Amino acid sequence: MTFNDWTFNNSRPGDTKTEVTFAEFFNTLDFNKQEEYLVRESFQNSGDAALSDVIPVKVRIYVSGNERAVKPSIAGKYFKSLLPHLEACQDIPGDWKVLLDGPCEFLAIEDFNTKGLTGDETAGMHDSEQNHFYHFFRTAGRTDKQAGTGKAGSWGVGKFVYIMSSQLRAMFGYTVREHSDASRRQLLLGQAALRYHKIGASIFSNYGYFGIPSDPEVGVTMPYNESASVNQFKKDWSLKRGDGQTGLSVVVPYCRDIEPDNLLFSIIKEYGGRILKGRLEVELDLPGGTIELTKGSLFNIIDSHANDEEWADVRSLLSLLVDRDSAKAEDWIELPRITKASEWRDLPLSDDLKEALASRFLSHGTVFVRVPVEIHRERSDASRSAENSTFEVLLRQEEGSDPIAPVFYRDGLRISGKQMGNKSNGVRTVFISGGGILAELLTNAEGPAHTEWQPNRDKFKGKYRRGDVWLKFCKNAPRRIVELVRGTNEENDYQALADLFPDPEYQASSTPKPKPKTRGEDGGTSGDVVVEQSGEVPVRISATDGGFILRLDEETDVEHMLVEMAYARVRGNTFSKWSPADFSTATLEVDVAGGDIISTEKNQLVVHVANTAKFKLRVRGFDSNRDLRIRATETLGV
Amino acid sequence: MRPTVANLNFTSRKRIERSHVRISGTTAGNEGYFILDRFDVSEYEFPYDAQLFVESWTGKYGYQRFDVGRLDRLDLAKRHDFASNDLPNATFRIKVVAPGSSGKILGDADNIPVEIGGRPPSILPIDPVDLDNRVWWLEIDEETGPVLQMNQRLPDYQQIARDIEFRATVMPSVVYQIALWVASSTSSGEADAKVRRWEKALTFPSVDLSKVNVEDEDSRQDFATRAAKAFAKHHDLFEKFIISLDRNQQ
Repeated sequence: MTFNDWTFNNSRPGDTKTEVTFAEFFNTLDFNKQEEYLVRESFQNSGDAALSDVIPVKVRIYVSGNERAVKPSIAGKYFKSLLPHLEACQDIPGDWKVLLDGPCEFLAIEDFNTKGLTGDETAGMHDSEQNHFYHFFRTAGRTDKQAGTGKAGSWGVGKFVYIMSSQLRAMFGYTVREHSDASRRQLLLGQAALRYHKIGASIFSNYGYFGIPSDPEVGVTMPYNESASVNQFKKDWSLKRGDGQTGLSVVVPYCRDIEPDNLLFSIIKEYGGRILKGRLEVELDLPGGTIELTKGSLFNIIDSHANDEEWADVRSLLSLLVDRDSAKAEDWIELPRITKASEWRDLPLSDDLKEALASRFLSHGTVFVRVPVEIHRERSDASRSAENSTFEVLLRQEEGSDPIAPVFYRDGLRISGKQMGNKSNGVRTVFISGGGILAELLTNAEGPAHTEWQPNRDKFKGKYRRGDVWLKFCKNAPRRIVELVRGTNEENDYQALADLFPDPEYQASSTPKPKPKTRGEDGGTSGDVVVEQSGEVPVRISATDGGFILRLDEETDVEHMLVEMAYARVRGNTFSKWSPADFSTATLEVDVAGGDIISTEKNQLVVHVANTAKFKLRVRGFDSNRDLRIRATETLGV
Repeated sequence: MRPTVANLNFTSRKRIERSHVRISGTTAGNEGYFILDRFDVSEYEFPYDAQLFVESWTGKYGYQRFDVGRLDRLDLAKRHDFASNDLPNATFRIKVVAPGSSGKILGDADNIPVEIGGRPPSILPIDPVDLDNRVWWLEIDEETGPVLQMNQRLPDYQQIARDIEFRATVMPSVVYQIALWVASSTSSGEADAKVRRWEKALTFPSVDLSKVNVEDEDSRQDFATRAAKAFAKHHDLFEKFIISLDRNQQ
């Protein structure tokens, strides 16, 4: 079987020469390992091409290593004609002859239960039709995946991880897809991304294709589709795909060093959650044996690396995701729908809700929070209602107190760049975006590597009302909810001014023994409401069922009084931190004798005292599970 | 007339007095630890098997929680490792939680500073809050005493609070307001204790609270003015401010 030569189209001197920089782009990212982005990008494409949500996508990764490398005599069939082009690209370093004379170590990544590269393989220009084949082989920086439709990819550059993983900057794609024309069901095409180069008097483009050449004026390099060529290719590169198995097989020849342990770890770290959901299975075919990663085997594999900190961290994360999937309705705490992007501190969350969060965290060490959101598009017409979505934040108290970075998921893709949220000490946090407009918003804020959410992306800017605030709101959600379950946000700082105002009563420590008394289960609730009172306005305040009664001392000349009410808070000025979510005077039951109510507003009453001796203000309707604070101030009236 | 404030404790949650709790810290290099070296709960009548948690907060790392154990089995000498070198900036909170799985908080103490190497904490805490377009504000609450609020949208409020430009221009006014509060106070109980502590903190040679006529506004203002002047002089605020201006112009 003989294949055609690689085809590089001629370039005219007047053409602008745009080199391929996507591959270099991936080298600038802050991934720990090359294997990580290879796994992220290839699995992302496979997930996006799934046949259904029910049948798991299967991915097979074949690492030849030196043991199973393709012999030079066989590899020569594929690359001999590429050599002059490689040698002409003088600014790509490499001793090509030596490389091609040696064994060809390669990587094959095959996905099953997927659609394969559908679309018209003859297309040389994009049109309105979805065409995955065209976008995979014939474009750079372009995709037909739409943000917010459940697709992880959105930039059209992920495919370049294959190119950059090859020392030759080349790859092959073999796809099987459904098609009414049997001759178009299986297709094989190779691609190389080099530099613009000159051989003799001819200037060649940087992209080359391994296929059936066409006249570039009228067509594109066509993929092989007849059985002889395809079967030979499958045999040479140890592919497993059967004739009727739809999907895509990518071969990365002369693969750069792949460390099997890193590959295994990257799969589990990036896609362990999807494996545990039963939506992905992986066969890792290594020179030393095959590892099957399935829902049933995953934790056994992780536990075999129990002594490694990185693995232990991933185990903890995945076990939290498992707990989330098995949580009952009562395990969730839902925040009120957020209808306007804001700072977390400005949310009108009731103290009851905060108390529920704190109690749950104290008693269970785990909290699952669901946050419904309502997002508006920036230029939507007025008749269009807001679009709803939701996100989840999972929290778990961990042993120890090391800072743990939050992990964010969008459409099953882990978004975990260094700029994503602040660490929390001793608390593991996970953010999971729901679908629809929120997933779309987040996708449009992602860069090509899908590691960060930034508001300065062109796809994002000006598209959503208060979009930048929504983005910040989501990124801050894990940290802020940790603060909520801890019962407060920021504490006072007692150090910054310690040199100016040292506590004059500071003394060396002493150590008295604690002497707790034995009491009932709830610890000393007497049933009587304790009232503490201080100040100069001559009032007597007493507790009543769900409220209070305020009387005046008989010998006083107070005529008008402002009475403010607020639930007690652990810090700050109670009255200025009153929230409409707590209560308002409009909903309280207010009775006055010996005087009149002049005005009511928010948490305030202004009263006129007509008869000091008979004056009695009774206010009820407060939550008796909350402590109440009342402030009475003499005023001049309204 | 000073407003009258009443607290109605419907929940029976006990507010543990700060004087009953003390947390001491030790740092060495990047490591640190603290001990809960005072926790006197004898008067609060908590169940013996209630659980005690200590929570810390630092601006850099947020919260950490430490399960200190049952009240009847407390080991006050136990060292609790602190993950960061941020211990000197940490603020602590104590929570006593009911036994069982209810998670009910029976008592708490908030805003407890850590004492490092015997250095006294500040009597004037800084509270980062939303102040709209104001940089700072002095809040004097009957219960908590004076608190210097700083706008939480400032890039680094702690550093700004240490800058001489801020201190020289703001602190004399702060001291004036606090001194007026001290001179006007007729509080009792714990609130009065706070006033008395501030009285000690504002003790300077030419400032004598005992000579103030509490009923006379001029007398109170004179005391406050003297306190502000004495404070500025004691800390050389004007001289340091001029030096700083010169440096900035070079």
